[in-house]
Parts: sequence; structure tokens; C-alpha cells
Amino acid sequence: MTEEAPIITMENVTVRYAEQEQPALDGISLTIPAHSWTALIGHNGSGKSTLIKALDGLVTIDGGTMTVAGLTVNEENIWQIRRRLGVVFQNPENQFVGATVADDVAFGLENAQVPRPAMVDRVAAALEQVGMTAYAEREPAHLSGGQKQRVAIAGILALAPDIIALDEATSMLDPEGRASVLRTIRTLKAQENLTILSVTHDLEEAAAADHVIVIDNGHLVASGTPPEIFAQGAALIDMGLSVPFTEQLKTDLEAGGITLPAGYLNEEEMAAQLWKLYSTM
Amino acid sequence: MNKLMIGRYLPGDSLVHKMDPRGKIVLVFYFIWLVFFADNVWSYLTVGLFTLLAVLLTRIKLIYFWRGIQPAIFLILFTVLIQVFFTRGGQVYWAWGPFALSSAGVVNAWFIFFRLVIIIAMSTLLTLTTSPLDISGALSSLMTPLKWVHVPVDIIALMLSIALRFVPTLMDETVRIMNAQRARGVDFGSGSLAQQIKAIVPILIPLFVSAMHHAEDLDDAMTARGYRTDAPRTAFRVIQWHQRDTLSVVAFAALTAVVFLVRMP
Ligand SMILES: Nc1ncnc2c1ncn2[C@@H]1O[C@H](COP(=O)(O)OP(=O)(O)O)[C@@H](O)[C@H]1O
Ligand SMILES: [Mg+2]
Repeated sequence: MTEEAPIITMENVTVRYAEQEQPALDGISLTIPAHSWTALIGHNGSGKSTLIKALDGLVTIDGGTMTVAGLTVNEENIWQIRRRLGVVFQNPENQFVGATVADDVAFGLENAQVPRPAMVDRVAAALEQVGMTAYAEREPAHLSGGQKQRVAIAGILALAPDIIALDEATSMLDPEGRASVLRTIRTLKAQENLTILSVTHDLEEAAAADHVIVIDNGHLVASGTPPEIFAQGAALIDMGLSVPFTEQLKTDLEAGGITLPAGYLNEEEMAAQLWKLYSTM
Repeated sequence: MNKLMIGRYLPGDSLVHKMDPRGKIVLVFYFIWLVFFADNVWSYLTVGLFTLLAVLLTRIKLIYFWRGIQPAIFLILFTVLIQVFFTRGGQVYWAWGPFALSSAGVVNAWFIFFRLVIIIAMSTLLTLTTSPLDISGALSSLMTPLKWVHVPVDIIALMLSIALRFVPTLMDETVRIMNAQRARGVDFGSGSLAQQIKAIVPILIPLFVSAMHHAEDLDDAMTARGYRTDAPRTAFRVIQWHQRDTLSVVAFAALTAVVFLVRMP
């Protein structure tokens, strides 16, 4: 893919929570190209949520600089940045503010002081985009987790952002809800030319990303394309991550004396390799 | 879960349901005030028939109104008995110390009885036909003048609406925590009062912790979506005053005129 100008940059960013010995982020530097899908992985407590919150000004940084959509993250720009960068959090329950689906989608628009007639149109359009039009008058108690997350996405879309950050947004959902939310995001990314930054434990999702960033203990430990990252199999296991199924298979085959070409193989490529092996046996 | 919903709202599309909730709240309170002016058979008949008409207009089964009155039945009977035995006047049938059974007492007791039933029926009508969301919206709207004395009306309104929105969530959590405690052998609803109170503590603490987690996350989510307490906002949900609301005000004005015409000079 062609490299685009970075839409997010972090330069030596450090975050230290009060009364914590270790900084949650320790001198992180990274860039995220516009219109890309970047997967952010790392085990629990490694600082992924803190990184997202730092970008959105929800935690204050103790050192370094950041830019989001061309704006330096600081007190002056933060409200503008929050309109460029939408965040979907992990727990569907705790980000549903409105009394009904439509009210919730309107919440960000009310904050942005959009006049009511425009607001009505934008709420309807955003609900249409996530396939929740029929639920506009529903109360959150009558929605599934996946539906609530799609409402959260609609609330962000209504503000026409450049970037959507997902902080384990599908981790509390059942497989069906997870698939529907991811499908929604993929479609929207293409339609709206969005940049996606997704914190995930789902390595299938990471394998489908343009870039993967691995953080461990507040440090950036790896950054590259999925093939580059997953080729480091054993090192990833050391960092407490599981590896994708195909990579596990490859390691096991190699232990049995069968060598496959270097680099990460997706399921299709792996199947092709296995066919080749089988036919030459 | 639904049994415990605040106000036992029953959705519908009757004329009463569709009224402006602000108008409905103000008129119900006005009506309660007006009922206290009824002082004879005719004026009670007037407000009574008006209540019946309003109840019928909701197209809600009468059993729901009865359920509204039921919890107050002892209060009503108690008040009625006090009226019967402590009012003297007209013909006295029986007397003993401060107690007396007189014709005036019996008449008064009937009036009090009707007054209480009418007031409860009308308040039940308000909660049956108005969603908690509409009630909170209407109250916020009615509180608007308080902005002049720097009461943060918008913040209170948002707090109210978020609190209502989290009622089912916290209710679900309460059930879950209770089940978890039951699985560990905690017995709810039996034993002495002290034991029962003790059994509630292990529910309240996890519930409180969980509520704090909700609040913390919600704070981040709201800020991320651009919410700031120090900036003006526009409103998505608006309450609209219709012609039917003007007509209902006219109906109450007519009622007032009739009550004052037929009450004792
Ligand atoms: N509000 C907070 N106060 C203090 N420490 C925190 C807070 N939030 C997170 N931490 C700590 O910072 C580290 C990184 O946390 P987090 O960013 O949530 O990790 P992740 O999202 O990767 O699981 C953890 O050690 C965690 O305990
Ligand atoms: Mg996290």
C-alpha cells in the first residue's frame, strides 16, 4: 500500500499515574499513516488504553509531544481533536449516555452545538450507516452489546471524524456481535475514508490490519506489517501474546522437520502451501 | 426487573399519553389543589366525574388505577376513621370522651374518602401515561426559570436522565450480586431484622463499587464525545406544546368554574 502522511504522531510520550512506580507509557514514539488500519496489541496492563486516552486528552502526559489530525495535543486544541478522533470503549454499557438510541447518537452533536434540524438529519443518517434505524426509539436496556457498540459508532460518525479508535471495542461481545461490529467498521472505513486504530486481542483482526504495533510494559516493542510482526512468532509468545493459528501450525510443522517459506502466511496461503506439500509427498 | 420501573409507566397513544408532559404535570397539581375546594355533594360529583372522564380517556384498564390506590388503602381508611370519630356536628348518634359518631362526621368521612381516592387516581394517571424520561424532561423544562438564580438546571437534567438510564443496569447487577451471594449461602428475606440488614451489606458494597466503575468510564466516554459542563449545548429532545394542550387547559378552566359555581356559597 502507498504510504500516506501520518495522521497521528507520538514523540517520546510518557504517562505516569499518581502513586504508580512504573510509568504506564514510557517514552513511546510512533506514527500512524492516514487512512490505514492499525492494530495495537499487547497483554493486559501494557498501556494500550492509556495510549488511546493520552491521544484524546483523557489522561495528561508527563513528557513528549503528540499530534492528531495535524493538531498538537494540548489544552487549546483538545476539543477540536475530540471531534476529529472518536473513541469506542470496551464496555458497551458505560458509554451509552442517552435515554434512547437516537438521544445517544445526538449526544456528541448537542455538545458540538449543532442546531436541532441538522441534528435530526445527522442522527438519522448515522443510524442508517450502522444499520440501527429501526431501533432509534429503543432504550439501552433492550439492546445487545453489539447493538450498543454500533450505536456508539453512530454517535461518533455523526460528528464526521477522521479517526476512530477502538479500545477493545469487541472484546465483551459474543462472536456474532463481534463480527457485526467489525463488518460495520470495515464498511465505514472504506466509505468515509477513515483511519482506524484498534486495540485488540483478536489476532485474526490484527492479521488483517495494515500495521501492527506491539507494546509491552509501556514500551513500544515492535511495529510493522502483520507478516513482519507474526514472523517473530516465539518472541511474541515471550511477550505474553498468542500467535495466529497459521503461525502456530508453521512452528509445529517445522518442529516435525517440514520447512515452509519464511514470513507470515494467512490461512489461504497456508492452505496453498499444505496442498503443495501434500501433492509432493 | 420491569415490575420495579419507576412510576409504572404504560406506553400508549391516547390523548392523555400524547399531552405535553409539562402541561400534564402542572394541571395534575392544579387539580389536586382544586379538589380541596370541593365542599358539597355537587362539587365532589363534579371533580369525581372529571377524574372518571380523564381515566377513561387514557384507555388504560381500571385495574391499573386500582393498583395505584391499593397501597394507600390503609392510609385512606385510617384518615376516614379519624374523621368519623373526631368530627362533631349535626345529629350525634353516640359519644364517649373525645370520640363521637355524628352525622357531620359521617358526611365528612365520605368527602375525605372521595378526595383521597380522586387525588391518588389522578396522580396514578400522571405516572401511568408519562414516561420517566418525559417526566424528567418536563421537570427540567419547568425548572428553567431557576437558571436566573444560577441553579445548574441543564446539569441536573442530564444527571436525572443518566440516573434513569442506569436504573435497569444497576437492577440487573443487583440481581446478579444477590445470586452470587445466595450461591455462597447468604439468606435474604429471613431471620431477624438485624440479620436481614446484615445480609444487605454484601450486596451494597459490590453494587457501590460497580457504580463507581460505571461513573469513571462514563466520565471518559462523555468527555471524549465533547461534553463539558462549562459550555452551552443544543437540545435534541424537545417537548412540544400542541393545540390539544391548550384545549386541556380550557377544560380545567371550565372545571374550575363549575366547582366554584356549585360549591356552598
Ligand atoms: N486510572 C489509573 N490509575 C492508576 N493506574 C492506572 C490507571 N489506569 C491504568 N493504570 C495502570 O497503568 C497500566 C496500564 O494500564 P492500561 O493502559 O489500562 O493497560 P491496557 O489497556 O493495555 O490493559 C497498568 O499497570 C494499570 O494498572
Ligand atoms: Mg485496556
